[in-house]
Order: sequence, then C-alpha cells, then structure tokens
Amino acid sequence: MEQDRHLIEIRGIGKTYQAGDTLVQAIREMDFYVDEGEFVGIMGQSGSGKSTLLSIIGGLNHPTKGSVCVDTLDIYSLTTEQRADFRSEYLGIIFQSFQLIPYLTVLENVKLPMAVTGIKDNEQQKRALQILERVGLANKARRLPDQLSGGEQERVAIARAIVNQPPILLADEPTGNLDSETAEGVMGLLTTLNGEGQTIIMVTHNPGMTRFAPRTIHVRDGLVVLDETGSRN
Amino acid sequence: MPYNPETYREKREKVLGVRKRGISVGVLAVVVSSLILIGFGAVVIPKSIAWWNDRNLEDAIFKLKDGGPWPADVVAALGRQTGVKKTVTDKGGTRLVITFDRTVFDARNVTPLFEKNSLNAVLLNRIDHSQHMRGMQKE
Repeated sequence: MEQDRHLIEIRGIGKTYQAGDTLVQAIREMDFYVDEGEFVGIMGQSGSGKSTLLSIIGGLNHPTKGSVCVDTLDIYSLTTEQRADFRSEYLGIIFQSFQLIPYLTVLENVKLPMAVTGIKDNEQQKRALQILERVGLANKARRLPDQLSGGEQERVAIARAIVNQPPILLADEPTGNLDSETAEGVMGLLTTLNGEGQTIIMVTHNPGMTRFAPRTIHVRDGLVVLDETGSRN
Repeated sequence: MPYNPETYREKREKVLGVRKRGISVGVLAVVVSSLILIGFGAVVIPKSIAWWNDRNLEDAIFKLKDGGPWPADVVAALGRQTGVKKTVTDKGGTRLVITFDRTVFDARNVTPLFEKNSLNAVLLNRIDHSQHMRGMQKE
C-alpha cells in the first residue's frame, strides 16, 4: 500500500555550527510533516532553532543530518543550480526586515522575482498590479519603499513573495517590526491567502501571532516540544 | 490531507531539468562557438585546399623573339605534355604561360618542341603559380 505523501517532509534533521571553539547545536533533531494548504506557526524563543529550521526548509542552509523533501524532491540532494530553481518555483519568502530594494518603486520590487522567469514585461506589469491590488496597495505602486509605512512595506514584501504563485510561503517573523494593530492587518492578509489554499510556514516568537495559525509547532533548544493543532481564533 | 504530486509536475520537471526554460548559457556558448568556427572554416578551408593543390605548380612565361603570336597547334601540343596543367596565351597571343607541376615536368623540356616547330622562344620568367596568380589579381 502506498504511503500518504506530504508536501513538506522534515526527516530527522539536525544542524550544528562551529562558533569559535564551540560546537553549537542549533537543531538537535526534528521530524514533522506539513500538508498542502496548512498554515503552520513555528513558535520559540530566540536561539530555539526556529529561524535555522526555516532557512533549512528554504533550501538556504544545509542540515548536518537528515533530509527535507518538498513535493518529493529531496532538496539537499539537488545541485546548487537545481536548488536555486527549486526556490524560484516553490517558495515565496517574507523577511522580518522586509528586504525591499530602496531605489526601486513598489511595482518594480514586486516585479523583481519575475525577472528570471522569462515572463514578458507587459505580463509582469499586469500580474504585479493585480497582486498589489490584492494587498491593497495598487494606488501606491509608483512610490518608493521609504514613502510607505511599516505595515505597507510588509504588504509589498508579501506581494513580492506571492507574485510567482509559489506553493509555499515562508515567513520569518513577518510582524516583528510592526505595531500590534498593523501586525493584525498583516496576519489577516496571510490568513486570507491561507484560506485560498496557500501553504504557509511562519516563524514567530510572539505567542499572540500563533492564534492565526491552525497548527503551531513549539520548538525549544533545537527540538520540537509540542505540535499543537487547534482551530483558528 | 495528502497532496497530489501531479499538481506540481511542471514545477518538479523544471527543477530537475526535464523541462528547460529557454536556452541555457552552455548551449548558447556552443552555438556561438560553432558559428565562429564555421565562419572561420569557410574562409580558411578553401584557401588551404587551394594552397595544397597548387603547392607544386609553377608558371613559365615565354615569348617569341620576333614578337609574333604563338601558333595554336604548338600551344595545344604543349597542353598535352605530361605534368602540364594549363597553357594560356595573353598580350594579344604573344605571351605563352605554361602552368606545370615542377615535380613531373621541367620547363627546359619545351625547348625540343619549339625547335621542332622552328620557333625562337625566349623564357621571360619562372614563377610560383600561386604567387603569379596573386600578382595578376593585384594588377
């Protein structure tokens, strides 16, 4: 009988860093699955290994042991070039510090991930404007990032992350730089995207934010200490 | 909920390189190099072949002492000699150019034929055939 497959399968991963003379075990051992359409919060204090975990899922940080399979692809057995293609095809990443390019307009920032896809410029323009419309920023498409509020910049970062329609959205402390009201708005947007079928993995240290995610994985000292499935508040 | 891998077949094939997006840098490099080599070859190869074929050819240029035209039957007889590739008259038929393979034929071998036909001929020049052709082209 064929086993059920999962969109993301984390199998026995570990990560050890060398920091001077000391070996740091950022992740001791983690095993879990994420299914298509899930919204998973990864919750933990600073140094718990949650950001390392996200970078490993994102194909950016080779684990010391174990494997990460996304859509049956063992991403660390791919070549560097294939892994770059994997990130481009499968992932949208939202960073805490937005990582918008300050001298490009909002529209140009959103178009950026499409630059390597071979999509024609007019189609890029059309798609970027549609996404900006969706995140409520179509009227600010010609502005530069520093002419926007923090919440708006985060919305641009989300628009940029989803413009290539990736199956998986990784968010690293997406509300870390926002006041609580703005953070709620951003989380509302992520919840809407998840409602439309977007798979989301969000790392946070803020317990208040995990209420938006129907499943929360708690990590501590490089281990999964609780995998909690509940209903969205 | 288990997912259906078929949903992402196209993405998977792109990552694994089954489905190529456009032309790769490697393929482009091969195409450009091939075009350069073909262009270079188109110029160099015919010249090399011509040089190889002409490497032993030499031209001997004769004129009659009285400045008259060369009799056609003598010119034709010379053309039939072993090692002679071509006989041409120019300057109103007063100059005879014999192109021959120097490994087979010697320009001095024509003297008996001239004497037999009571022709008083003067050898004006002996020159490498390719060099002669280049000189003619320049003129």
